[in-house]
Amino acid sequence: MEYAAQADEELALALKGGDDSAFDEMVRRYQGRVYAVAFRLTGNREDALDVTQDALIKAYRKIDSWKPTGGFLPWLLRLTRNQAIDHIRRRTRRRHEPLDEALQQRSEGADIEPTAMSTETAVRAREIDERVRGALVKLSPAQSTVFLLRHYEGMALAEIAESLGCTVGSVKVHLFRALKKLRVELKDLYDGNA
Amino acid sequence: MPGCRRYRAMMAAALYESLDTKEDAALQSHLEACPVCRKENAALRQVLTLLPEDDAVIPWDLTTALRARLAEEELRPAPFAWLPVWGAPAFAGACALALAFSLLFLGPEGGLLNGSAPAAPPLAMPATPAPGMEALEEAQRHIAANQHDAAASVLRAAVQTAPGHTAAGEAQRALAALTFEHFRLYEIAFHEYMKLRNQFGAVYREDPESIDRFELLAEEWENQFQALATIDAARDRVYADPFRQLEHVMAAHPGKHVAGIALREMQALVRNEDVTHGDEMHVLEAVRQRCVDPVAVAQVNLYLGDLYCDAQVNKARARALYQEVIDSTSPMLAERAGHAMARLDLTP
Repeated sequence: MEYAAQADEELALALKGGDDSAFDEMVRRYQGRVYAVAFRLTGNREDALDVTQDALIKAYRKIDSWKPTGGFLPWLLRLTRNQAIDHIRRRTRRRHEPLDEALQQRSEGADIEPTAMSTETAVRAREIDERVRGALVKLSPAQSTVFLLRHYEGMALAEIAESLGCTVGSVKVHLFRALKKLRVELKDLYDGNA
Repeated sequence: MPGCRRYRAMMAAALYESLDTKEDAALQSHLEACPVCRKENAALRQVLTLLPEDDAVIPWDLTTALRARLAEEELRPAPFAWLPVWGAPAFAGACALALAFSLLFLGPEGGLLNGSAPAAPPLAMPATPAPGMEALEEAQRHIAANQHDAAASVLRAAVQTAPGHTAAGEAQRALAALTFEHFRLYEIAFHEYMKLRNQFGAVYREDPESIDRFELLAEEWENQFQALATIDAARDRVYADPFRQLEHVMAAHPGKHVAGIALREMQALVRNEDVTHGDEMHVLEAVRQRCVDPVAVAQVNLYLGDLYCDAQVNKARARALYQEVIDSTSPMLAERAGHAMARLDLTP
């Protein structure tokens, strides 16, 4: 059966119904977005690829826990976020360092392309990237899901509300709390104070 | 101010979308009246300017790898899920053997322990090597006879016909290495190393060469392996000036795996031209003298500085080399040199 033209929820329903051929389309359609979230949270390509694979496999194995009343992408991105945090925790235990320091871990050089920026600018960009990554991991599941869907996926707030099965007002509150938490975590990186 | 809470949710929404006319008017009116919310609004806008662009692009298609992983997981029946893939049949075989042994020697009639006639000996283990090991030995014979196509066929068959066998991982590793070293088919080698990494993780993790090659190929995949093709052509003396071509690779890919390979080829060229150069430091100094591109020179300086440091000789030379890199035009190499200099300062 041709799944490329089917909507996300129809694809998920096909997979839920035991149609394994829908899995290939699921991977093709979502691996990029799952990878983007995984990379945003882990900060390096190797870990992001591991998390992406783990998340898609888990989505396949746990498809029965997805409820058709909610959107498939938010469910998948929540799962990805949890996989990323588990991965970071395992990495922390292997290296015997506190979770905070693991979140601040510098990315491997291979993920940073040399640019025309000055050394100071490049170092600051990397510092900001690491701090944002650390702040994102500290958001609650609801806050990070809403934030990732709005800021990085560009989903409308009404669409997010429908996907999560809540009111638009609740989505706005989660979004505000996410941004406020980011502001607190990153406050020393900019001049404004509120 | 009382009621600020409802306006804060609106503030967050307004950063991304237009509010309806009524909400927008209410928010603007509140911001004019409430300095606290006005400041909060400005701070939230500032946070958005800090957030980097989300430009992470997945480097390759995972469909095949995930299918293979699911298939591998299916090979492990639930009661043996804790065993590696090859272990389930072996464990079952061991249990059967133990049961046969106990029946023959300690059965209801007592067997040997009760002084009865000796029972038949336990089942003998097969004297001939397992199929996977035979395939590896056959492939080695083909390679020794320069029959590389035959070797690849044997290895591929070994992986496909006995994917759960313990030797399949070694066969996959050997196939990936053959594809990389002899055939130089880098896109295929990339998929072979990816298969090794995904399906035979234990073999992959134990082999630093496989890990290095996978990382190299993953980097080069994005550039269609052009740098590797250039290095091969330089190695095969296709160019009139292979040294310069290799230098171009180093300059175009600073800090990448492929730059390290280009540098090793440049060292081999210099060594072949003058066998009196001696140890690696002298060879690298000669390479450094010949390079003209500043980014290539900076990389050679970094390698050379590390060599002097690791050998704990001539720290002053190492420091001078690192300083040259810090003063160079490559911010990434400058940062690495800065770290190296800091480590140098910490050593006695």
